[in-house]
Amino acid sequence: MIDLREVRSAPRVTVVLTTWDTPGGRAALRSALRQTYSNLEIIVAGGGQGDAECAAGLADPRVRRLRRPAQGGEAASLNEALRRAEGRYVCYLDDRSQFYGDHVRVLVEALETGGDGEAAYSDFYCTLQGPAAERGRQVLGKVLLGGRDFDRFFLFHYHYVPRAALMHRRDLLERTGPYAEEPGDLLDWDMHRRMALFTDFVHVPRITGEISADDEPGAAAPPAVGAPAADERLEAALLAVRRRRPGKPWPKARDLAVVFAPSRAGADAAARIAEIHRWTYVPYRLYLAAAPDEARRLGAAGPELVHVPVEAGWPWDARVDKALRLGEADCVAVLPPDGDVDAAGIEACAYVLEHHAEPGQAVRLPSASGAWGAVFRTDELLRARRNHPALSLRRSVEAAGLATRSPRGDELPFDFDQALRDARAAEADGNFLRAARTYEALARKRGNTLWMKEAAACALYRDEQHDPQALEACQEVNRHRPTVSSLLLEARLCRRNDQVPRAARLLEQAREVLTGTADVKEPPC
Amino acid sequence: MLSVHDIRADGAVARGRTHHFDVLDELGNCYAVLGELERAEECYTAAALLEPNRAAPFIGLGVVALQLDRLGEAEVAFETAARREPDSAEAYGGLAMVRQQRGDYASAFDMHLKCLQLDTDNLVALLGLFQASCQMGTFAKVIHYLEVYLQRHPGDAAVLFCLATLYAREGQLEDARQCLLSVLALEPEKPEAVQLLQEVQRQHDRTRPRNTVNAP
Repeated sequence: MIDLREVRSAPRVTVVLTTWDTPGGRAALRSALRQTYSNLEIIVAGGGQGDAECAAGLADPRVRRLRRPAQGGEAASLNEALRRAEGRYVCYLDDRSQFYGDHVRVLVEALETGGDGEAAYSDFYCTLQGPAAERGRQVLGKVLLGGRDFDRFFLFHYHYVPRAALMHRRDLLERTGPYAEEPGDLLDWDMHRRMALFTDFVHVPRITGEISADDEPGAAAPPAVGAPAADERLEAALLAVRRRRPGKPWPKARDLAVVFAPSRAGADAAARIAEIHRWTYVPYRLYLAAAPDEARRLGAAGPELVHVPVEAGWPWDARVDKALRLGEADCVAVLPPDGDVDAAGIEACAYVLEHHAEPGQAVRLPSASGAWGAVFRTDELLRARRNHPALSLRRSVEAAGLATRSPRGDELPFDFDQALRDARAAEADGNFLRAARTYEALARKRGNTLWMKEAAACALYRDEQHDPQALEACQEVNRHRPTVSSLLLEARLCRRNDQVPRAARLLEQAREVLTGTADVKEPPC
Repeated sequence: MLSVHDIRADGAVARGRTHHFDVLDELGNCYAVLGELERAEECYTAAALLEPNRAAPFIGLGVVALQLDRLGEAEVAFETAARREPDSAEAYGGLAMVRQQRGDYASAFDMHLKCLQLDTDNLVALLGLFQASCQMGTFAKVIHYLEVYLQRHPGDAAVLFCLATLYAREGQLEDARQCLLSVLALEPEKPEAVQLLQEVQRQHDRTRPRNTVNAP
């Protein structure tokens, strides 16, 4: 039933469904049509006759159908649909995903009330399936996908927000640009990385849909003869994604300039450039201050590399100064001309500078040989050079009162993940209580509260000595975001403590989720 | 670069593959405890369809059938469970109960024994073995298993009492007396232990040499 009052007052949402005429695609369409949110348009970018039949059969005025472009793959379909979209917000479905009834409503509310966030995501189940006893497929389990709070640095490294879980303002695409119509499997991660330059993502810790896992044995086709191996393809796609830079300004992310003025254009310098490209996932540009023939010898190329031509024989400080004048980034990493620098540490130091360093501080780059290099705020370094042009770069930094300091362990990115790894290792060693205390501390200090509380409850359950605390933590999780695993855990705790009727109720609830009856209602067609 | 499916590298995906089975099997156990046997049976059947190679749901089905006095069905279910997991002590324990209810004590004895070999702590099998022995009148093997069990669980009054009974039947009166004293130390009010101790004491007195009785 369409609520006309809501249609008039609430923002329009476009659901883009890309499908290949599969039963999954039709289920996805039905899930869009049974949303409790009324002001929807649904654009079905389909390939086969079956889609048209289904869309016509539904006879719903909200559905429009596009034929998928012959070239450009899924990205082309998405772009074509987005060009025709009229909603203020956009969300996505495909052959493997389905929304629960309130998916659109939950995310619209988050975006309308969530401050300046232009994108929001909820949690989804990943549905694991296996062959049924007689024929067809059956649901083996449903595990939470995502569930992690927004972390821009993490997003630059990992694709952790499924496309179907995301809703964003349509006009955000005017700044990010369209989906990249190039071969590769990373189009969603690429788009989410670009979006993260312009907006925070609001995380709604609520399960509003599910995605089927592609776990059929033999489903992954071998690469065609003559095609690059999967690893090479992935490497190429990764590099392409990291090279993509939409136009500035980027209100939510800092650009990083890496200045490298090698004293010799030898194999060491070439290897260092390759390492920087390999390990840097935040947006960056590498400024190579070298004479033209030196640059040719190094053979480095790519859109993220800016050649800063200098005269052969220029001193290192002069080379760096020229690169600094060309740079337009918010922070700059000045690499030593010789000696080693941990390439993975460059962006980590930039992270520390952005999140932990005081004004007037720079962060020293890690180097086993003690070579001097640091990450600076660009304006502070430029001021130091302007005020002390006669001094060497290092002396001018000191004269300007810029303190270079090493990063502390707890300031580095991924420290949450490191603590998580430590807790899991403690669990593997049977030290469940220590693991539980780590999870609880993470929940207090580092967000991801429900995820960490469930992990703590699970560790306490395995400890067998702290059932009341485990039960309390588990019940809190289940009050806010019950999942199959958290319901199962609470049921086991109840059973162990002779609360069998309650255990049975919890298990029935989990069973409803698994059999799809917890949310999914009868389809309209 | 990890895909979204690999991010939760805490084994959640691997554990998730058995979610449905775990839920159904545990739900079956809950309903069985609550006496809702039809619902328990329905859950175990669904679990068995999901994971036909696992023994647990067949054991559940066997237990339900046993409670409903459907011995034939119970036997088939326990045999299936034993085929799925030949190391399943519960499957042999179930078969032993079926055979015992049919009065086939020799076979029940063998099944209880097999169950105990796989799970030396299985008290149900131990007591079953005891009952089967009583029916058949052969005690030597049982005494050995009860003694082994009591080395691990010295405070188990029920098993101590069984052992005392067997000792008494075998004429090992001093051993029986010691066992019963241990039982009464644990459960001073246990009337059958008091009664048996009196009986053992009487037999003991009757068999004691007269000069010992009349010693100053």
